[in-house]
Amino acid sequence: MAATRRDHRDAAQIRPLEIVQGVLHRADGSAQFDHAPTAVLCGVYGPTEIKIRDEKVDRATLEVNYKPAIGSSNTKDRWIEYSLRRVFEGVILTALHPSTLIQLNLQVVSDHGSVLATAFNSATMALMDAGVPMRTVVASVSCAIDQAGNVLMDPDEEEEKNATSCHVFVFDAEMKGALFTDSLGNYTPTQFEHCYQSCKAGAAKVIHFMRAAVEAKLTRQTQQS
Amino acid sequence: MAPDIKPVVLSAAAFEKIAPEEFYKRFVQNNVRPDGRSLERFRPTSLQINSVTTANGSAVVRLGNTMVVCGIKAEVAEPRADAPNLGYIVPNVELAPICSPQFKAGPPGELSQAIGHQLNRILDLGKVLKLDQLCIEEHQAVWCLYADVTCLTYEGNILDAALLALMAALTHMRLPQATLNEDTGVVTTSLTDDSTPLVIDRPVYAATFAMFPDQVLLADPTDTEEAIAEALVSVVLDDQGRQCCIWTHGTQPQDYTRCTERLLTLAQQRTTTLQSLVTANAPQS
Amino acid sequence: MELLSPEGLRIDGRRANELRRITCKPSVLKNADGSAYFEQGNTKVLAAVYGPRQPQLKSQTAHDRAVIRVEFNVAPFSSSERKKRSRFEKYGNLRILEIATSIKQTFEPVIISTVYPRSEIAIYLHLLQDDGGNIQTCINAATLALIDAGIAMTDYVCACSAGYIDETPVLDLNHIEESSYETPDLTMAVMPRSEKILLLQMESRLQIGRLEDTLALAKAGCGQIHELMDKAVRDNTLDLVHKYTN
Repeated sequence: MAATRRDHRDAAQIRPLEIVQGVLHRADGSAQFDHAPTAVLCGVYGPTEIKIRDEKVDRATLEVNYKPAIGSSNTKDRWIEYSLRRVFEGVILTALHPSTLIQLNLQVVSDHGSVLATAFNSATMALMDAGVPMRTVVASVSCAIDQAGNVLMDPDEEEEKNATSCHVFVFDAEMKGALFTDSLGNYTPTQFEHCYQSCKAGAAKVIHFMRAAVEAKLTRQTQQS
Repeated sequence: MAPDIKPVVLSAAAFEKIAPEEFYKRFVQNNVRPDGRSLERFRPTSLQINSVTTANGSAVVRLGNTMVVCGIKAEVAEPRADAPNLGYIVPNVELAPICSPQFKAGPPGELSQAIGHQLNRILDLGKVLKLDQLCIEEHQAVWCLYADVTCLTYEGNILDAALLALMAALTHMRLPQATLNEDTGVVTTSLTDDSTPLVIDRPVYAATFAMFPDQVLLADPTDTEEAIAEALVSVVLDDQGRQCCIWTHGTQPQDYTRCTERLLTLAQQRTTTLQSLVTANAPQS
Repeated sequence: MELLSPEGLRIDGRRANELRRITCKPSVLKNADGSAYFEQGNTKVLAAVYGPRQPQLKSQTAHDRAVIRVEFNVAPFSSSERKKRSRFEKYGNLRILEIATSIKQTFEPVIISTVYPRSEIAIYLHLLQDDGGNIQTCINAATLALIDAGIAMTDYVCACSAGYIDETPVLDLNHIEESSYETPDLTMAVMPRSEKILLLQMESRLQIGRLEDTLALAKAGCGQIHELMDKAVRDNTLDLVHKYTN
């Protein structure tokens, strides 16, 4: 597993993470999450007023808008919105805010692979920043298997393109299991199992990093006040 | 005297509406589902090939009360500059109000676009077929296959039905003979007896399961089951049983290490059934 | 192209006053309140009726009657040229909107809408395969679906087309005959009992002296279609009776 990658990482190494919370002033909560150089910005609005047509009387409606870094949005982006909505509808305690709208707006700042995983992480941080009640915090990591059978964590765009299969997992903070899986390509059950475990370990690191970021932010706030 | 309290008797339909989770729990405890199926049983599946004569290839799939039509139209297009010999396949899923009142008229909704894109990804990243067989003349003209999947009645599990229809239509479609006139740059096509079938390298089929509490698996969920499931797991395998795609999304975390084997065995059986269904339904020519 | 052979046979082997083969079946969809499949030759239409139900748009509510909504959808693979999916074409396609509107206007006098105030009756028509005569097939399919939904109507609505090739009036034009430049194409929808005309459409040239022949032929065609539809409805009802009594 000593494959050196284009950016001189180990196979199991995740790119440097960076979190900036509260970047947008008009949003109720926002965050930018980097798997540098990939970066996704997310703004959360809500719980806010909802159109009667979309109203659900027993819970909040979740709306996800995803905009790619370049070009206009297409069906691929609807697929990402669908995936995000499915996961966060289960994670957000929507029953606490019936007949309201919670809006997640994601904008890809730069796309250099593993953008879906970054989008999940960014949305989690923005929701936390907005103070939207959630059952758990989720973290996502992706990996790719290259032609030689190496499992490359957090692949960049070149590695994704040349991979035999790509895997994205979303885990909850308690590591009970995956909330979302997307594995595509040609792979064996053993490889899938391996990817699942590697991404689980990776997600634990991401959760740890998120916790550190929130702690740092809270410390800063208490010092200021 | 104690007042005469009558127990509240709910009709089954009312019970299902008021507390769907509890309603299903009672059924699942007895290893049966409201439509009479056992938990791991798929709905009766039937297939009809090339019944739409205006399309180059078509398939009608009935999966219980979910019915879809996939029609493939081949059109001549210009190739991309960076891939001069590759054609295109453009899958599209349509969920119009005709198939269920839950869908609105107007532009395609989120679900239909998401499923359409998922089909596209399976074809593309799953390497189902080589796109160079759609080449007519390098740099000049290639085939673009528009695969439109229209849902006629909707009762859940659209991915399985759509992928089966798409696969069956691709397997049995015929590409017209096309020749490019070098001088005029016009492509002439003729649908004669020597029109060619496509070569499918890796036929893939989907099996979707709804996960219920305590790792209970419900194969081939209906729309009501999809709505209350903890998660949906779609397993796509090829004819050799190799994994092509696992797609899960849901509200509760799922630990696969405990049920992967069962999922794969069931998906494997399903794939074998569907593969023989597609080959057995070859149109008479 | 020779549309009529010297023996008087048409391009698909029919005689001049012969309908295409008709297959129809009510109650084909589970989710809809009423539905029907109608096949006229190679033109295939699926119709679904929802309602009377709460109107989806509040602004479209009438306090004294039901509002009828017709959506006409053409499957992209239905005709020899694939319908482009661009946003402009699909939702601004005037031809499709026009057909939907004329079907709506055809049914408005027949449906007794005053018995369903503040509600909506939605008719969804899906053209699966197009071989000419879309409007007539859609109207026939919608009639069966409305009857299947149990919507109060004063009568059946039966539609048929007719035209003129050379010196002969011909019934029920297919796509090749319809798209020929010289063939006039007249579509008519009638209520068979009162013989009142609900829809009469013609957008091509026809000698005034030949109009009467063509109308008479189209009316005769409507009569034949009425018999077939009536039989389908009766068979379907008998089926239901058997299901419930056994």
